[in-house]
Amino acid sequence: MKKIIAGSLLIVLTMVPALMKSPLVAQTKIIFWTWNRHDMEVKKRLFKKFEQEHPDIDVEMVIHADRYQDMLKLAWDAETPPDVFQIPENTLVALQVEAGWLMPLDQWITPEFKAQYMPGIFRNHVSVIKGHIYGIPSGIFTAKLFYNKSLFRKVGLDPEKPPRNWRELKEYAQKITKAGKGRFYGFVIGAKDPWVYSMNVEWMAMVAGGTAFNYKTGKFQYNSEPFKRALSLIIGLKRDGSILPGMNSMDDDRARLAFCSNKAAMIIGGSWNLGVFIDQFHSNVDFGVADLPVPDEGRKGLAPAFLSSQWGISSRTKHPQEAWEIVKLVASKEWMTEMVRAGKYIATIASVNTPENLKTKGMRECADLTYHKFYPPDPEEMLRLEGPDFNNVCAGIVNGQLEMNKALADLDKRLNKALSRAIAEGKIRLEEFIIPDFNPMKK
Amino acid sequence: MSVFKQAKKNWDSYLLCTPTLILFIVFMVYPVFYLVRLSFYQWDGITQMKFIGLENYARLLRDPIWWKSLKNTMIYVVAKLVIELSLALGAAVVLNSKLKGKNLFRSIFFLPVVTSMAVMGIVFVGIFSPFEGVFNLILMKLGLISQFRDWLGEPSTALYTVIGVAIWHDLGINMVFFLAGLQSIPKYLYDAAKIDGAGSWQQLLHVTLPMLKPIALIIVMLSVIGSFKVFDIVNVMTNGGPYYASEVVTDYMFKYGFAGRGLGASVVAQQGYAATIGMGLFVVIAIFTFIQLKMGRIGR
Repeated sequence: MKKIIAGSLLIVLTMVPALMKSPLVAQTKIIFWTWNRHDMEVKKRLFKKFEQEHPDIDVEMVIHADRYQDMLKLAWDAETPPDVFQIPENTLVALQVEAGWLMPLDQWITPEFKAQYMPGIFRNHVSVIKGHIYGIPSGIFTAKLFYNKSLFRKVGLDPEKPPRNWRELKEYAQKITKAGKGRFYGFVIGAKDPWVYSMNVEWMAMVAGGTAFNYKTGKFQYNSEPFKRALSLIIGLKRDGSILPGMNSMDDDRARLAFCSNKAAMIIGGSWNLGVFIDQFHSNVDFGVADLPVPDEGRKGLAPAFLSSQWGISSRTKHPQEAWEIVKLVASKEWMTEMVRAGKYIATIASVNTPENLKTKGMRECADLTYHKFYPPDPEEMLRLEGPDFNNVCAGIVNGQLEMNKALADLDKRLNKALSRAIAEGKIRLEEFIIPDFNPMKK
Repeated sequence: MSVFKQAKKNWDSYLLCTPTLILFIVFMVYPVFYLVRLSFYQWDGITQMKFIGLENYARLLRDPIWWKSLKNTMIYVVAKLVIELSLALGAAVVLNSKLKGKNLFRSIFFLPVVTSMAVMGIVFVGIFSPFEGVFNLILMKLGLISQFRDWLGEPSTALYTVIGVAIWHDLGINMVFFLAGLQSIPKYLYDAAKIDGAGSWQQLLHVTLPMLKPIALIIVMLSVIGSFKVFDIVNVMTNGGPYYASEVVTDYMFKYGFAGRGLGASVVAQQGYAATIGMGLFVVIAIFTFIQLKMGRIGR
């Protein structure tokens, strides 16, 4: 008898935890994929709150900070795609739509829903493909100059007056480098991964009125004055010895670390740097944020602003309504307010970006969109380019391995050839990218 | 006996081999055939694959960066072969003698082998840094340089710096192979050579080296194939740069094969072309291995 009682007790004790774990209501699991690790804690907290309010939905967040696209592709190959996933803010979305990965969100998007976001945020080829909305943008990044106020002070520069133009940038960098005597330098670039030339050359070319793609003629135009002048600026800084030595063997993370360790006074980057400086490096560097310096004769173009993330729903999801609830959540005013307060991004709902919410150091300056615009997408990322891309060509030019005029002309030639081929293959319709009245100074 | 009859007779052996064989087919044989197929296609890894015949191969032949990366790979292979194997042989001969503390030296030489290439690459980036890097400081103290140099960032030195680190890393394992070879040479051959009046140098030339030939051929073949496949150290230390100055074939293939570099994971992959680069490397390795085997046979 004792044995029977003990056995029954054991069974009951074993079952209790299992029973406690099982939900009282049938739950729908939504798999949510993102490549952002820096805002993981905020997301976890907000999802937990959502789950408490919606006991029928269970959100499983999966983060693939490295090789996100490859992991996503593997998930599709294995026929186990996530229900909701982060999609890039570029023309790669068109390929994902072509592959049938994304579900159009039109059925849920009312004019009122759309109206809460900044005007022009739903861009063709990025969020809208062939008239259908596939992505809801939730955050913005801006292109900025970060400068080290301590080093500015140390060399007698006013820490509240960052360089406004290229001449000042060069002069300040020279002055700081000279005073640093090998201990610190004026400027830093981590060019081991050549993509940083997008920030240090292309963004600077943009404030000089340049764009890689000529929206009026439909041709690529890297071989143009704004790009050549921006490249010459970097080459000049290098020649002056104003760039922290070792730029080619240092990636952007190391460059940002050098900036935070008071080894370099200025670095160009996106507003995502705030998260890196504060959350990742736990740095107490005294830094300031400024608009990108413009050519000496004045601004000829606005600096770029980007979407930090947009969210889409898998065409294969078995729970589209629940998936939409999640998309609606991560693109909601409440969610964005938390994100902005935590300094993770600038919200696409303008009313969230208030001084009270922009409390993190540097956020207010990063959220200043006066001299920024969302440039229309160009078809470059959809092309099958043969040979080195712009960033690699920049590396060759800056290091003296390529002659500037010849290399940029060759790049344009290869890009235009790839564009013609894509048009002939029916992959691209050029007229969709043409903007006859394009003006880099106009929002 | 026919293969079928043999299989029937030894069915239990074949049964025991089956799991391994299945794994081998799934993870080795199938990917090879898939790679060959992929090299005839244009594919971004997302949308539909498109058959383009030999277009990728024609592109490979006219791609200057491919030829540059192949040339760099050859330099890497030859430098590793000549310098590393000579040093490994020298170290093995010395550490096979009656040297005091030889076990300690053997361990020291072998230590880099058990260190991760990726971790080591990151450490060496710091060591070679032109800003507070130890290597520059030492050279400066010795009076060998007048100003700091960016060893991994200058086009003229990047590849050779990587080769230097790779030799340091792999020396130990080849030394161990040579040591095993040396210890298998019968002592009486040296005794006979001594009786015939051979000195240390002549013993090395006429006894040690000829007796080491079989194992040396294997070491050379493994070293050449391993060097052709070099990837991690280049990717971590220089990323193939600056502007492909230290680019090697596998790293170049990786860049086309995988998307995700840059802002917002944007670059579209060209997996068909990446497969063709892989096929190009396969052909080069096959030719080298064939020549090596032929040479080994001729000398036998």
